[in-house]
Amino acid sequence: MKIETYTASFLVLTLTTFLTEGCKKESIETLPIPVEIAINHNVGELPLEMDTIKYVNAAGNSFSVNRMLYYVSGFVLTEINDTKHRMDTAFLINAEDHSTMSFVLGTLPQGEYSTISFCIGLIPELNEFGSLANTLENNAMFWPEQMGGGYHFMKLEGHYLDHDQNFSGYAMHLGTNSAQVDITLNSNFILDSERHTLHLEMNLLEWFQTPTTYDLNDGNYSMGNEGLMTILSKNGSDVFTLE
Amino acid sequence: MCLRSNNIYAQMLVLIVVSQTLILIASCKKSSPIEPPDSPQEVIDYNPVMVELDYPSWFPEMPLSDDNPLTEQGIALGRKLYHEPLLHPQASMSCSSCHYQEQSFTINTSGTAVLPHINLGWSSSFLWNGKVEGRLEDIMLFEVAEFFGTDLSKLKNHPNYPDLFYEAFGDRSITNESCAKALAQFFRTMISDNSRFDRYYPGKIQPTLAEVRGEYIFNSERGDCFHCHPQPLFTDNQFHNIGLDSVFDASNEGRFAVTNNNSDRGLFKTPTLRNVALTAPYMHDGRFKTLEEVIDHYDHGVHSSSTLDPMMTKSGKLKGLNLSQEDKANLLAFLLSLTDSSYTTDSNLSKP
Repeated sequence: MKIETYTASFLVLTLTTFLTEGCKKESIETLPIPVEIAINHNVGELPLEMDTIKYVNAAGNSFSVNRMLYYVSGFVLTEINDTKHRMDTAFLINAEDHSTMSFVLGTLPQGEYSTISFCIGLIPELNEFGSLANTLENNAMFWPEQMGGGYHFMKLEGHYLDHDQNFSGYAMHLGTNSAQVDITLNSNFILDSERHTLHLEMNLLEWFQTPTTYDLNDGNYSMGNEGLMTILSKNGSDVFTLE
Repeated sequence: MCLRSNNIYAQMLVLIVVSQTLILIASCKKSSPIEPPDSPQEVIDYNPVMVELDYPSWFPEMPLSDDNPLTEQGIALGRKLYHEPLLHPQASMSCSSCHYQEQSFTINTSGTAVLPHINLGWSSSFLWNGKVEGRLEDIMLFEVAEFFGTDLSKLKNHPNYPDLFYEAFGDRSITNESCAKALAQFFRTMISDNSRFDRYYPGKIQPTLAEVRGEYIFNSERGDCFHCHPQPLFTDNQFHNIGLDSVFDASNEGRFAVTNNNSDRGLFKTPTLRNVALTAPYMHDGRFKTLEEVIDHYDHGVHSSSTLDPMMTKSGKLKGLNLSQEDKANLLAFLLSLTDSSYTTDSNLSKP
């Protein structure tokens, strides 16, 4: 009788230990991890270098980039089992400031994912002036009320050589909810303690091509030009790739 | 032996009495109300009162310095130093000698225009070419140590300043850095937020029709002023070539003098438009005497160059905005609505 009691106690203890250990192991594997985004900017095959007319777009315009500022927001990461993780935060990227080009997106479960989607610009609930943190940087992205209100989604500015090889400038600005640029990158990737940074690359040439080849001589200034903003918005859907 | 002993006891007694008497005399001397204190440390408290700035919630958050918290004593000291000629080695010139409050803390003069001291708490680059970058403490250190070359002994030997520095910072040793800290604190209180625009934008008063129309020109592609002068600070604190010249030399090279980068030739810091009606002449060299001349420049006076800001190359601008006389008058009415007379008469900013 005594031996039976001891045996039962031993079994219960052993089972409890196994269960506890098992649970422990499972919780470590599924512990959510902070996921980072790191963005790199290229112009075709060349790395982005400011203030130099060294790039040529699909329309044949030689151009430079003097300023590249934009928001990314509305991130959704989808696991292979179709579980979606949404993050509401917006991030302001300044291609001249490395400290803005990588950021912690949020805390996500470890595992295999199939898609990352987001938008260049601000999701509508954030695109009301005053809805973002009241910083000098956000304030400088102000988009006047009478032009639709909210914030600039993007400021891409620089110089180009016109048809007569004269020095001119361009300002490709995006703003208002209809100009939001939707990005969807379908590519399986794993997030775990070893791989928790997603590397995104923007190819600035894509703003001027696919589906519409855009010639800067046809209009060098997009703000207030709905037609040009629409072209940019559609061209922008494939500016990003997941490295 | 006994006598000797008695003598010894007597001598000891005398010694004790004498020493006690001396101690009593000494202690009486120390606490005598007639005598002045040995040093001011004993009568002045270091008990700084923290200050929180008050400005509209729709203004961006002003960057502050963790190592220089705002206090009543620090601000008061900064204000006194701002108006103090002793900052100049010959004791002949203070900050306020070239920054008149009634002119929004600038001066109408020829040559290089003097940038007004207004809302600089939100700036991170200073002077027309951004020669000094960083915090207000950095530009103030430049002003004290380099621009003025202050002889600190004049402040150290002053009957009041050592006490005032002690009250502000708990330290009587006056340095360029402590002067800069006090001035930076005062500058953070130099806030203009009470113009007509500041009252009609949140709906407290009705703007005039001319102001509404002028704001439309300002904040739309019609005038496209807002990119470099976004509200509510009316400056982007960046550097731009707005097409004043097409050829550059040492007199107009601007930001290039700091960076040595060719793409910075002719770029100057965007000044705020707050109180712009009071801060003539305009541009870095004061070439425009009136706001009408400034508007005319943007309307049809832009010169092309390889560094002309892309925002200035919009076809309408380079070839002319074609503003009508009425447009110009409305734009001027809007600019005048940025005048804040309470700033130019604020007794908290004037000479103490």
